[in-house]
Amino acid sequence: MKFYFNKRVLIGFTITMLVLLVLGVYSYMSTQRLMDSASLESHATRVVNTAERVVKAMIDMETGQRGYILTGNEDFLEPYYDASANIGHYLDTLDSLTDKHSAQQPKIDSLRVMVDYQNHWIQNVVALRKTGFAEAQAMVATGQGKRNTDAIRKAIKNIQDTEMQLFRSRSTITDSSVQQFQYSFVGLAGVMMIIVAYLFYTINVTLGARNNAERELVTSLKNTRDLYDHAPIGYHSLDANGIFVEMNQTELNWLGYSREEVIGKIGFRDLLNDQGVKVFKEAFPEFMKTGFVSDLEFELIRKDGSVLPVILNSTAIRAEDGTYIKSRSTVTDNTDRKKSQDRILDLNRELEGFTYSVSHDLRAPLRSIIGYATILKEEYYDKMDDEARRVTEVIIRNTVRMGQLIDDLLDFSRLGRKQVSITPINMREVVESIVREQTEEIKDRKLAVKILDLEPAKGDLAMIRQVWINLISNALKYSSKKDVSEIEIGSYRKDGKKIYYITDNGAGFDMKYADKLFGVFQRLHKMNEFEGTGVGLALVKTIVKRHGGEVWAESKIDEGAKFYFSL
Amino acid sequence: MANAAEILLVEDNPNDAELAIRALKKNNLANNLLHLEDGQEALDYLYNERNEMPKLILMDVKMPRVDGIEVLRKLKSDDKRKIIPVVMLTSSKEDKDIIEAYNLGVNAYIVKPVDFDQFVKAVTQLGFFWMILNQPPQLNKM
Repeated sequence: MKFYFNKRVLIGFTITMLVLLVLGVYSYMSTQRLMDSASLESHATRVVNTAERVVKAMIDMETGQRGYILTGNEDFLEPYYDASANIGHYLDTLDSLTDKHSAQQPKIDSLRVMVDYQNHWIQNVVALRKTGFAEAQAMVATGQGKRNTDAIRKAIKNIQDTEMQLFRSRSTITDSSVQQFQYSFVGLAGVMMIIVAYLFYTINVTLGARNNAERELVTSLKNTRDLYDHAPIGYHSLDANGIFVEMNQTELNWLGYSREEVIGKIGFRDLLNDQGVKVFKEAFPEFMKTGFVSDLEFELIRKDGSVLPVILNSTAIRAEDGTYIKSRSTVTDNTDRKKSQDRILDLNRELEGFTYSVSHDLRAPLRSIIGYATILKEEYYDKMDDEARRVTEVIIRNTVRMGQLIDDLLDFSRLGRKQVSITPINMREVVESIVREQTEEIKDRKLAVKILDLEPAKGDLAMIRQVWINLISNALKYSSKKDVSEIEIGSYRKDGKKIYYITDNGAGFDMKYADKLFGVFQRLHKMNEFEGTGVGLALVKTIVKRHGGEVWAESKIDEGAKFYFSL
Repeated sequence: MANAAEILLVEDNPNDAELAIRALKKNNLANNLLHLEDGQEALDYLYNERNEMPKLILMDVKMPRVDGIEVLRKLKSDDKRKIIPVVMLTSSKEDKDIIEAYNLGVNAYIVKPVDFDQFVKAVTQLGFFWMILNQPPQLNKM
């Protein structure tokens, strides 16, 4: 479109220039012709006028002669003398004016002869009048003088006509040629006007389109700029030296700087405290390698010296040859999140302090109760009756159980705060070692434990171990009343997840209570049937959840249970 | 008066102390035992030049005035006293206490079982190991 437009304008102007050139040349030539014609015309006029003078001089000569003949007064001869003196001069002029014209020259020569003859004849008549009026009158009466005059008039008329004819034949300017010139001029001027008008129109239309496009561009730029500046997130760009080349208004407001104070003036480093520098030193190699960093948490120093907790994401912009040009970053105000985080940390610390004192202070008295009750049982055995011994046993058993509950509860609460550190886990090895440990203690029971191939997993080894410990010990515990404890442990893949399971042929449970199975301190069996605190499966659930998996179970009363968990 | 206790039991809870002493006595390990009631007392004893250094220190973690961790820190950063075996005997299963104690150079860390029989077993085994099996470096009067 642009090329097309430029080409059209170029062609338009070229045509206009050509037309102008043609008009100019044409006008010049026409003017030249007009000037030539004018000079030819003035020459012809001079010839005609000079010829006229010859005629007039001849008439003067004749008039003077006639007056003298009639009166005999010599004064009347005055015009005759003047005219006869001038007429030669006029003839010379005529001669020189027509010297380039071969057709006129013989006519001038013959005119000169005729004039001389007439002059001669007049002199004769004047001489005769001096003798007497009658003789002169007789000579005039011959009509010779009149014939001479007529002949001269005729010759001059002929010369004049020839000259005019000559002028007309030489002059190229005619009415029609003038008209033709006018038409051509108007025509060319018209063409030029059309072209200029067309050019004007084309340029105008294109300029209009350009103006519109420019306005749209400006509007869109304004919108983009507005979005950039006032988005509820900080944006900035740094050059290769870490100097700010751009920063949006939001971030400027957060930091308390004006644009002029930042752009090209200060570097990112200037806004960091020691902790921030450390964060960036650690993140920089990764940034140069991968071209981006995500969710860096640190603090920016405001102009007034206060700090702004932020989260930063950054992308490297490289040239085609891979050299680092600049970085583009988004900055999120982390104040609120930081506050919540601090609050959570505080709460966690409180909880930690609480569990610490629970673990310490709650267990100590229990130990004393059991300790002293045991002393009673052992050292005062003889002094107690059966009921006293039974009661002492109950005290000890319940206190031990309370100690167990406290320990399990602490384990459970500790688990929620523990960091999950992911490593590859050889599940089969883990399961085999746990089964070995647990069956060691119950050698007297008949066991049929089948461990199938298990998918290797990724997770926190200690936690996943705890899951298996709890599930395997449950399976052993609840199948302990069967003649043979049959346990199978296996795994399979489903929908990209690894699913592990353990089945037993134990007491099972009523599916009605399946939702209570994994709750803390929830038990589906009586204490005197199977021991336990009801924390084991809750722990399993918490651990699996923290690994992003699910845990569920299937069972029928007295037909065993099947526990699943996915990772 | 110069003391020459072989075992120093640092424990603020008198019942726990009594039970521990009973457990050790049952196995004839408490003949030369001195019970101190908090960390400050332990430091006072250990930094009294006239006292002979014990062969073993059994110490609770949580105590008033100066706690067990603090005493441990002091002893293990002291060239003369860091060779005394220190066993932390505590109710607490808290990881951070265990980690800190080991970082400071504790020789063993025992979580006192609630069950008295297990407690007796644990304390007895400890006594046997450190007092009879373990070969300590020659400790001179400091």
